[in-house]
Amino acid sequence: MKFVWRRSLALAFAGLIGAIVAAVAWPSTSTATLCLLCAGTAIGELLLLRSDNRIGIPLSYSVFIVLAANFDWRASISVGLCAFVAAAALRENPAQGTQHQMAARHAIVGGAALVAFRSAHELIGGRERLSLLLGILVITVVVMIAVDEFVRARTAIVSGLHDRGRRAWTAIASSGALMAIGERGVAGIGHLGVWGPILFAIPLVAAWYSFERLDAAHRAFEQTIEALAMAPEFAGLAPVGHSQRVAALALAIGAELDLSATTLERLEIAARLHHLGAVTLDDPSLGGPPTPAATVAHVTADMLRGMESLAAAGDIVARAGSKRSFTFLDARGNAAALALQYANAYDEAVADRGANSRVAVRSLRIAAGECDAVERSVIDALERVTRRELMADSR
Amino acid sequence: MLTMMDTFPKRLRGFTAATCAIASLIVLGAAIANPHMAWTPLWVLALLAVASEHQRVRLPNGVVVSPGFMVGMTAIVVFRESAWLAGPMLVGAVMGINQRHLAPTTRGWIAFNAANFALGSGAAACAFALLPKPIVEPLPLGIIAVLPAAIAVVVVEALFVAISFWVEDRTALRTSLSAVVPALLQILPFAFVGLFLGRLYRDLGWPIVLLLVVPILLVRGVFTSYLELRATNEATMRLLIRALESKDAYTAGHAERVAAYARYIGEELGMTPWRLERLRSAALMHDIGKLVVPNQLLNKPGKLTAQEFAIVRRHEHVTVEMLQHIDFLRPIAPVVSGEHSQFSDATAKGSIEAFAIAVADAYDAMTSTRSYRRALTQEVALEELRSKSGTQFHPQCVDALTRAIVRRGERHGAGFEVDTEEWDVAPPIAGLGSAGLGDLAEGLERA
Repeated sequence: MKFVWRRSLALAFAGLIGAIVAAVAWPSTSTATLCLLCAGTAIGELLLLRSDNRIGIPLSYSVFIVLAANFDWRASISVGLCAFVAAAALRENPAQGTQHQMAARHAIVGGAALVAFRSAHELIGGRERLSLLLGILVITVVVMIAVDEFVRARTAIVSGLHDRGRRAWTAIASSGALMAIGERGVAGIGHLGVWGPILFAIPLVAAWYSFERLDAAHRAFEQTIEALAMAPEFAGLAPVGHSQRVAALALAIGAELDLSATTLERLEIAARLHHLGAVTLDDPSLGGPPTPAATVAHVTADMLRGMESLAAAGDIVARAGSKRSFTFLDARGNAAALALQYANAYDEAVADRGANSRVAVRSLRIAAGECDAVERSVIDALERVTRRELMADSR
Repeated sequence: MLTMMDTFPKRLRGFTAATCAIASLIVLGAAIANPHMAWTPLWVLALLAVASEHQRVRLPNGVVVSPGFMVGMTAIVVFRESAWLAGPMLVGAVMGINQRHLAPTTRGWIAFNAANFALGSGAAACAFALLPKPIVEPLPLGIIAVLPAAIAVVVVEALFVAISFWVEDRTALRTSLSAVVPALLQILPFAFVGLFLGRLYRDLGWPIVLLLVVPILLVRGVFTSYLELRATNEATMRLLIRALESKDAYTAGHAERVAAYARYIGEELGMTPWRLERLRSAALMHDIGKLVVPNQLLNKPGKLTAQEFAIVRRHEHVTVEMLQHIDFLRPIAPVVSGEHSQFSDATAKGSIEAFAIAVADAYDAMTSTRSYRRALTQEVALEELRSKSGTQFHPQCVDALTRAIVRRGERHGAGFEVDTEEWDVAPPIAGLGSAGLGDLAEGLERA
């Protein structure tokens, strides 16, 4: 698969270089531009602005904008066809959605761009003024996003409009508009010809590069956390799968309480690593008294606090470990710590001691007694989350 | 080395005042000679210039990337027909304004940078203005017109910095000037985009500039979150190392040293930066399996009982399972499991990362003091690697490490250890084995 991918990339680059040569030799013909756009589309189909292993937005969408704005529909369809073939034949096997689904989706989005630009152009009129042209381009992009989202929803593929997806769309739309304006100019002024798309692809490729780096860093980070979370479980100091379950439950509670994305990230790290400190203490199975949970939490929190970027997660672990001494602290950190504390207590009761889910929640509520509003809201959230899980299981 | 985060040195005051005066005189002269100033591009581009200088990103390898000259080049193209020298110089001068330098002690840097960037932009504008219109206007050729401007700005700014360093602490001019070629390669893409942006601005007006600012801001935002995440990941790996060190004091600094040696090997073998980064992560975390060995066994001074030994062996399997969960640690799992710890033609096709880490690990184990023996000398350690090269160790990796250490003139091993600690029970001078669970077990069997 890797070999095929590399060969295709080499072919696409060959096409690009051929097109550049053609463009230098015959600057006036738009055939050269078309060759370039074909090569650009093929490469663009390979380069996706991805995030968190989701299906990304392909850079070829920018070329679709150029095609819709500057070329007649026959040219658009021929390049679009080339993109379709490239997408169907070249793409790496993705996590979700088949190659044909993606090729079809890209072709549909390209077609929608064409129809949207043409219709808006006929309705609003001329591309003689920059403001009008920009308006038409905005309409085109909005239609593209809507169609892309619609097709994703039909094929049960996750939405592309999450946080980084929005950034990806902005990069693609603004670069596509620049390429289109640069290629043809406005009312005959300021056209750079084939050089427009080439030059304004630079920021787009830079965007792709930083998205790839971010994605790689994200995967590396998740795996580092995963490795550290596994250590106490494999050492027999915590039940297997405990940190995974507690993290999922704590995050669900946190989401239910509308905690900010940053707090949720910290909460996840805190939940995944809350037993880590146990590995630095003596193993009770080889003799000696069992280590109290509070000591483990204390040691873990100290370890995390030693690292500047993990200190906030360390605070959550510390507060979650030290029973009720933290009520005077700020409500947000408090809610995160309580989410971790209750997720942990619930998992210990249900997974380790085999308690019934409803009984576990009820006994936690009784144990909490007369507590403050934040703690009550955390228990309520726990109850809602676990009840939803039960209903999903019984279905 | 002087950095711009420090207090502005007093000795640079005269130099800065003089260069500011020169730059102001040039701008004034140019304005008198050619009073046609286009005001809208001046403030639009000045705002953009300040914004873009705040978008500087420092890459992990220390290179600073700034889209500043992109705006400079845009200004040069836009002002070519009006205030060709004063316009670009003024836009260059405002690039010196940086929020970081607003404190009273660092304010001098604003004047310093303003003079530097103004003179650089002025030189680039001269280089661009010298080219006749038939070269600049038609397109494939017009792209080349960027080169003299880019060279001018890089050379002038490098000279400026070099002279200022020389004024400040008499460092060699050559070291400052050696950065010219990398700087040129770094600003060229920005210069090209700036050229085209300038043409579009000239022909279509300023709204077009905003279209380009959007993707650049986005790239910067995404790249910054990448750098932050990378730092967090780094901190998490250090967490692991700390946990290991708290379990076993003898291994203090071991992970970092193995990572450094593995990096030497990777560099000698010509690995790409991406691959080097993965190799570094794997080297830093190669001992992760020790986390699951109970403290009492890891630090037990005497012999392990059969039962304790069985526990250690069981943990070895667990380690392999753990390593296989993690992408960048999977290649080294066979080494830890002992399956392929011997180099042979059959295993040579496996990932070279594993062998690189094995060699780095063995070298550091031999050149540092362990509970079972003191550090060996560097000569003995390298000789040991060489003698087992091709049987236990990958010959390429052994050669690479030897070359890298000899070339750097580094000294490790007995007499050169970084942290020499006082031990409760002094370790024996002679001893066998190295780091890692496999060798721990081996040493135990022998004992």
